[in-house]
Amino acid sequence: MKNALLSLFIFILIHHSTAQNNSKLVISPIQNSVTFSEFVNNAEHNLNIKFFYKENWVDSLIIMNYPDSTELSTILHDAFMLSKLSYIIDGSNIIITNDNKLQTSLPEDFFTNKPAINIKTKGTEATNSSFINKPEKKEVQISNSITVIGNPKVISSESNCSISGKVLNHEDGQPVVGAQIYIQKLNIGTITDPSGYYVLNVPVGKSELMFKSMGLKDLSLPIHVYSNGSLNVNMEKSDVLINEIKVIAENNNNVKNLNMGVQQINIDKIKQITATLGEVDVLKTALLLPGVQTVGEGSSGFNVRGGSTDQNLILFDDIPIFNSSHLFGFFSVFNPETVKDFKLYKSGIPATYGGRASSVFDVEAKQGNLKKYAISGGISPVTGKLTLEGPIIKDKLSVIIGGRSTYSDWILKQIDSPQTRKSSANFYDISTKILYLLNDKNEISFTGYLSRDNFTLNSDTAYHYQNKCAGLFFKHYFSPTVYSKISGIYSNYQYNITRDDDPELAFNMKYDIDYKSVKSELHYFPNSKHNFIVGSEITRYDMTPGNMTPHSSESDITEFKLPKEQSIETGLFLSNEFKISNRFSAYLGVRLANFFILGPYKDYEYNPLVPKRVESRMDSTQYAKNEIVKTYGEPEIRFSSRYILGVNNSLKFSYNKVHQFVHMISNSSAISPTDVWKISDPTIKPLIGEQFALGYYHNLFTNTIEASAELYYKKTRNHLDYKSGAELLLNPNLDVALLSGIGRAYGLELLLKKEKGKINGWVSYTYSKSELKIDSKFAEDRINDGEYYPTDYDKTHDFTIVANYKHSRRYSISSTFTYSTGRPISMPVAKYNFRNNQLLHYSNRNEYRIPDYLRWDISLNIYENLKSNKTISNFWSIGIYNVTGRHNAYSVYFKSTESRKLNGYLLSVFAKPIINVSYNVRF
Amino acid sequence: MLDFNKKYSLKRSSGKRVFFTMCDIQLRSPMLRKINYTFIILCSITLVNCVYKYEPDISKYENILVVEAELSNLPGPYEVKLSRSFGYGQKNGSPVCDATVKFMDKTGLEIPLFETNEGIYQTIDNSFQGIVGKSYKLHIEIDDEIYESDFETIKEPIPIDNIYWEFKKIDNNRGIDILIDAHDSNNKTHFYAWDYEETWKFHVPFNNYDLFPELEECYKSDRNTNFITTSTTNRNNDIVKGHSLKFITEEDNRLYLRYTILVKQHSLSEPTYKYFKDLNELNYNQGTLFDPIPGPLSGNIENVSGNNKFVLGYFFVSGATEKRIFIDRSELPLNYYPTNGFKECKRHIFEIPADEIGNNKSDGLFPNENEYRRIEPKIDSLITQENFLIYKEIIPAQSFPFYIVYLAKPACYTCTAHGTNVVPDFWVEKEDN
Repeated sequence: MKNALLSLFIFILIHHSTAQNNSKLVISPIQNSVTFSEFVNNAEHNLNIKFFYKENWVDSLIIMNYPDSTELSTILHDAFMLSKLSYIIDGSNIIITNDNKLQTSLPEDFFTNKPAINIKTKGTEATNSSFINKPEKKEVQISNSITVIGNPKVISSESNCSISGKVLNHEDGQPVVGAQIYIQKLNIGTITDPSGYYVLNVPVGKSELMFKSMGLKDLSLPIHVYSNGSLNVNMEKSDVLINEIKVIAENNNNVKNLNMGVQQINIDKIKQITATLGEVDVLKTALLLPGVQTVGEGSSGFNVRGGSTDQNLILFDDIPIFNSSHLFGFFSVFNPETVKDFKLYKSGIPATYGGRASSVFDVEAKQGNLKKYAISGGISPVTGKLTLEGPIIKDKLSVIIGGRSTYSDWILKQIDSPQTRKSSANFYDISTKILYLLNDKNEISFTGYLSRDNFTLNSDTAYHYQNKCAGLFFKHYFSPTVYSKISGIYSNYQYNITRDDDPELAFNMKYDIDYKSVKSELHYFPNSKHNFIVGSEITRYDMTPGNMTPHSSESDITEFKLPKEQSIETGLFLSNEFKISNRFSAYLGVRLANFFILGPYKDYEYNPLVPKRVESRMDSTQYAKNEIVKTYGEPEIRFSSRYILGVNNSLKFSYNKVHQFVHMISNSSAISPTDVWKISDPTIKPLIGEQFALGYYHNLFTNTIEASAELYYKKTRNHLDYKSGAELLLNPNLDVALLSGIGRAYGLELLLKKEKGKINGWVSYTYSKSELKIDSKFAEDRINDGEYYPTDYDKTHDFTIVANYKHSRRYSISSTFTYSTGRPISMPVAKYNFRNNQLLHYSNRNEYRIPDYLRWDISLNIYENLKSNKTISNFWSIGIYNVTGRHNAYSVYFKSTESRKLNGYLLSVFAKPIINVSYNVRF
Repeated sequence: MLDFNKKYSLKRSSGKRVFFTMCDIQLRSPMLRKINYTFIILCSITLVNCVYKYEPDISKYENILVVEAELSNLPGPYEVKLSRSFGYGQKNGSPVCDATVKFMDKTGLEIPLFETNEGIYQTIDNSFQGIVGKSYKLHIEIDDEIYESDFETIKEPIPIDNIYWEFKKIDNNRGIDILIDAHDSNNKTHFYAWDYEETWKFHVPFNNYDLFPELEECYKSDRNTNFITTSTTNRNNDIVKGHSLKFITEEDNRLYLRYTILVKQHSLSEPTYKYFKDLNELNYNQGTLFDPIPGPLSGNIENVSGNNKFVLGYFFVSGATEKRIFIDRSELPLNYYPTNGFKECKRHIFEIPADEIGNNKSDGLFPNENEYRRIEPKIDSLITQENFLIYKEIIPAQSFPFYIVYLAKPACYTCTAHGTNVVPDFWVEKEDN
């Protein structure tokens, strides 16, 4: 078949060149540009010739003005230059052929004005190489007609015009994020933003626009630009997308873009990596990236570049999620079926984001299919999932709704044992996204999210916690270069602890935090050298720090309510990404972050001569409702720059400063479901984080391997810690229980990544340090005598290998290997006898470390039915987690036993190889 | 198919805890009632044993003074123990001798304590008794170092309303839960601690009644080492109802015959309550996924010589009351089957033909021992290899010309190896109706 096509192609080319020799037809001067049909009508009329072609091949072809009489062959040559059309002049018959199906790739200089004979040779070569040498090479879709942009009647006075538009996935209408759009010949290009939008400054006239994106067929589009205009394109899905792992947007981007410490992985790649208990997990995948760590396997919180878990802004379509874990942290709250991708900013946080000092973890919800309905479902050892998506109005209004739930309760019921009868542990989450494309200028989308966890463990006390979120987004395109986005965001996190076995002691404890925000931003691309974003954000926090109420009429529980807290956070931001020279680009952003604590509030004044205690309160001021108690705020600078050193390498630098006004108060090293979020108050100052980062990026072996080295230094002020033994829940004097200090973290991250090919993946190594210093003039308010001590998540060395091997389109094997230094832990420095028992004394925090962590996972993915017009596609994943069965320590602890002996224990969460199978189906 | 049930056969006797598998992932909440349940599902699926013994190499060691001092309104003598902390790998700390120890009150009254044993200081003056409502502090001088506690007040003691038991099943273990009720109608106490002393009667399974009738029945006592604490601050009324003090499983022989528990109830100040609650958390409740990060626990004693030396321990001052109950096996449900405590005990009985016994008499209780060992090598190996001893023999009779020799381990026929055969003075036998 391939050979037949090849022969046909050569045949056509031969005829093409023969035709060149016979052309002696001359066309009289053409004054104004005419459409090809008009030209044909004229030519047929004047020269008594006959054209043979299909109307739709030429519908966008324009014949430029030729002031002098010109040979027909020249005109046709010019006209077809950017299309896939060829012509044969056979006497008075001009036969136009369309050979686009034959070509798989184009030579770089294909579009330069070279004699046809060269086209033939080059074309043949390209065909040969693409068929024989590079079977995995992606197919290039080549448009056979020139797309006209702007009004041909208007002669642009400028040499450059802006074109803008959206790049959408042909199959489901999803925007294609991070697609590259460029004109290779001119070395200009851009990438699409999260909504698939792009703006590119292009010269007036004809050029060849190339669209490239991972997993999609490359698209080559000849354009003829007359003036500013828009161009929306649909990109087709490539059949072979399952073999590639993408971490950073695109190969060239790593060197050329301004992103630093930014990692993006889309859900197809996440699904390939071995999952904990067969449950694909967005957050756990992020842990494989350099600079991202966790205290232990069972904890969902993660630490980015030595920052604490609450310093990550976890967003689901711009909505902050306060508790990102299900089932105490074994799974994250994101259902992989409704997630499109995630983007993690470890440094160089754009000015549009504020409020968390370490990172932004931006999970983007999948948008419903705009073309057709689809149902997908899956089952893993832990959960069942069902997702429904489709167009309500084709190409206009789409919806996706996905739910996930555990059947752990069902498992518990099967185990008919007295303990399990009273126990339950379950969770579910539902997310939805509705997209309405009103017209070319306006679009509205809605994202809703609900997650809930319940557990009762053979006890009378039941725990519930839930995230409830919604976001409404309105996007308006004013012109090709200006668009605005307005969002209204609501997020609520609450937990409840209830007990009702004993009516006398029945209670309900409630914690609740409410986040309401309105954000507006305006994007302006005046030309290819600048990209402005200006905007504002206003957020109101309402927090119920703890309400204890009786839960039955007979209950003797005292009603106890901590005063509510409320505050407003504002952010004004302005940023510009600008190109200074071909080599040097920079991003400069300023965010003016302010925080207003509102009354009612009782502010205590403490005696500065003694340690801060309830007894050292001297005076208090009562503030009335909505009175401003205290204001915090400062401008924050966000700066990134890139300097291209050579063809394949660049140097980047970034600096950012962030104020954080909400803090998670936790006295355990992992996030626990009852940790409380606390908003800054007059005594709890906002945390201020600053980061300097320097990176070197180098692409090797013609962009097949990306290498990068990033160096960072971070410092934080007003880092909270708590006094030993502090009670954090329902504590009316929480400010007294807390200490504050400074933190510093630094490290080096090395990453080698291969995105394409049968074997792909990455290898990373991180050296890092993260330390805190809590000093005070009072000994009891110091930790470790006011010296720097390592944080709970300080892991000096971290080494990760993620490797995927694609055996065929049906089978792929994925393997991950992680090694890291054990986390710091406090160990006893002395034992002592007390009441005939041996007890332990701990002094300095985090002086010791638990044993090093090492884990190897492997999984086999089987894709069934890969036909392009499949009605049902199945996907199996069989994995082994912790292949070596190493007893990785979660913690080391010591406990007095009843026999009065003291023992040391090592708690390991997954201490044996765990085999899991999960199955997914899509209709 | 996974055999989940197999996992549940594992037993543990500690507190309120549930075991679903061998896996010991626990969840704890800092809520009012300590919840210490074991977590589950993942482990049932994964069949993973999660807790391993671990002996870290801890080389650092801090030598710190440890003070153990108690004072209440109950009659003395009151005791103060002074010792030194010791390294992680060591077995015991050395006592601190020759210290000057006294209780002081706010009026300037000083009650000296005298060293009665190494590191143990006691009040000699029996006329001294803590007075409810008065405040005392502890003063210690060791060489040039002076240590002093805060002033601690003896709070109003609250009578124990009731101590009773319930038959329960906790963690797949059936047992008797001993519970306490108390209340303060003045609504002022709020913070409670209990400690207790248990005594129970037991029998060794084997005995030589003829020679040693006094070695069959003994009494064993035990004292709990940590205070059980609770607070009622979250209630409208100062009521403690059904607080568990001790859970006695069927693996325990405390209730095999007759048992008594003397419970001491302490009314505490809030800081004292907090200290002991934290102490328990730090030493007994570790090992959950969300452990609080351990740190130094400072008590109410500090070095006042101005060198900021850390002091371990506490000057425990409380208003205390006591109550004792007896539980007789006959009161317990018939389906409660406690062990006799001697499951491991085995005895061996041999018949030795009398005519084979020679004249090689040995000294001791059983003069034919050497002969038995010669004639029956199994007796010899039991004695030399397995620490068995002859505890009884039956002399041949006319109709039965054999010696019958009984062997067992001394612990199985000598009750004094485990307790005392002196009937405690508080012991009351069951009244016959």
